[in-house]
Amino acid sequence: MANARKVAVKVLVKIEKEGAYSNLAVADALKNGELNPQDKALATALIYGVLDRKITLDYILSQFLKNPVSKTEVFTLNVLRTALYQIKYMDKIPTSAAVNEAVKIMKSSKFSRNSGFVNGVLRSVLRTEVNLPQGDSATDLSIRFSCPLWVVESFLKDYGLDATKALLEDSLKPAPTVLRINTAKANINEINKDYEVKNNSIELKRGMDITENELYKKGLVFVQDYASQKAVETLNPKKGDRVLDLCAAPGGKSFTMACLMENEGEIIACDLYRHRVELIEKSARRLGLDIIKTRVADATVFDENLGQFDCVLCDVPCSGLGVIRRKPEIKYTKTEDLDGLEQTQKAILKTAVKYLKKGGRLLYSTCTLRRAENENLVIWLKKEYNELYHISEHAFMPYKDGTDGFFCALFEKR
Amino acid sequence: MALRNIVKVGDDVLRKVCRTQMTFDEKLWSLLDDMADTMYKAEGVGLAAPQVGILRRVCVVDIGEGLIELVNPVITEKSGFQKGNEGCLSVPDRFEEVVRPMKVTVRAQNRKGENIEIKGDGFLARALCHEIDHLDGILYIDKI
Repeated sequence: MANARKVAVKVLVKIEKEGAYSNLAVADALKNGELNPQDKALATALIYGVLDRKITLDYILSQFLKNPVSKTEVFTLNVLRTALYQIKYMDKIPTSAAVNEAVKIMKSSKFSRNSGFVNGVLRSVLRTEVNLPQGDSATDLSIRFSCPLWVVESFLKDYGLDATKALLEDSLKPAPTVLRINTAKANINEINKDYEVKNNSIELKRGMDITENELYKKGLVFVQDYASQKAVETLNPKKGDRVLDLCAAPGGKSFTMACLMENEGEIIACDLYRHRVELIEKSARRLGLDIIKTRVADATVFDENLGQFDCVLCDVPCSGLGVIRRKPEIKYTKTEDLDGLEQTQKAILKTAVKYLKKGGRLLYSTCTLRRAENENLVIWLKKEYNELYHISEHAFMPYKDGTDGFFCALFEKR
Repeated sequence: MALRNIVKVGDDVLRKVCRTQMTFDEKLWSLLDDMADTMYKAEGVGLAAPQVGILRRVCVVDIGEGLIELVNPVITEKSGFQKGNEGCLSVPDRFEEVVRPMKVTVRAQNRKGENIEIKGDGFLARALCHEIDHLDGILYIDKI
């Protein structure tokens, strides 16, 4: 099977049916397939493109379907979406090719009876101009920027109309891949010869495979957005400190801390799942950051044997609304999934405080932009613990800071 | 190199609102040069014109990442907050905790009168806010 469009459709179906994380599903499909680099690029562009624009695409399709989009068979629906995406957003692909390929895929699938239907729908799409709603209401914004209503409403409530529009616009733009330099091992001046180094980081051109990068292979860089770097810098662990990273995987923040500590001291990096801990372990070895010790541990459970720490980092699980430009499928999480989130975040903070030495610092961070998980949780924490002194707080906004959406708050135990 | 005298708290000149700098001539350049020299000699990280007795909207900042010269600076954006200790060359031997924004964007002119924009976070944001306050007669001890 070496058809980029078919691979894209299969991955989309898998994500929709099984809720696979898009970057993992994409990587998996591309590894196993026999696609050449060009087809790989097309498949990736299609998968992320369709996920990015799903609501807009479905709105357009709904104008041509008799039954609601949700009632349409999943494989057929994703063939339609993929073709429509090519028609609307990929100007290098002739519309006829998009339609013909879609019909071909249908004919070779077990849903071949639907191929006439797909052909019909796509032909009428080509004949008719569909205007997207241009208003400022939550529904209009949702359709125009292909963002679920609850996310738009949450942004509107927390940040107002102008910021919401800016956030939504950014959520559809590609995100740069930022590589932080492993300053414990790499010589910045050396790297500076071949790359533009800014704030201890370099940016990778879009579409380049990181794992093929020379610096990456040598363990001189690791992937981390500017916002996460800044957050770790505000925590500012020192040489020789004992540091606990409670929700560490995939490990980026632990690596930055190890760099700041010049690889002297101790970092215990925990995560709930073994396979994610192995991920940290593997990267730490590649980077040569041997002060990092990994552990499979539940961040909500206090373990006395670990002792006390100078710095504790709680990069808690969150709704991820700050990184939808990187992981578009986060947009399609259900609101119900968020209910338990705050409880987990609070539980993690409660254990974190127990690990803190007197005078130790606690960094709370999320990659989301929802007050309920950010500012409100900080207020809760201050109320709950008098001994915590609130040193600083910042919400990173993509459109202002040029980073992922991110929140961090720093405390000191007195 | 010419050092200027740093005015200390209690002097009225620190409490006045400074006037806009309209000319970008040698007089301004020597003021900027002298202010930088004075700041480095006193081991400060910033100095505003009223601190050397000149009521003009001019200041210099260097937190160890290079000299920034600001003429007619205005803070156009701020976000987040930070708490931390602050001192001032005009208020000797005192360090007090002040709340400042975590991030600021400052629009200003350089010594040639060209528009510039400086983004600062963390300590740089703190220094910028502190110096720009001086231009409006505000000292950090007012903010404790």
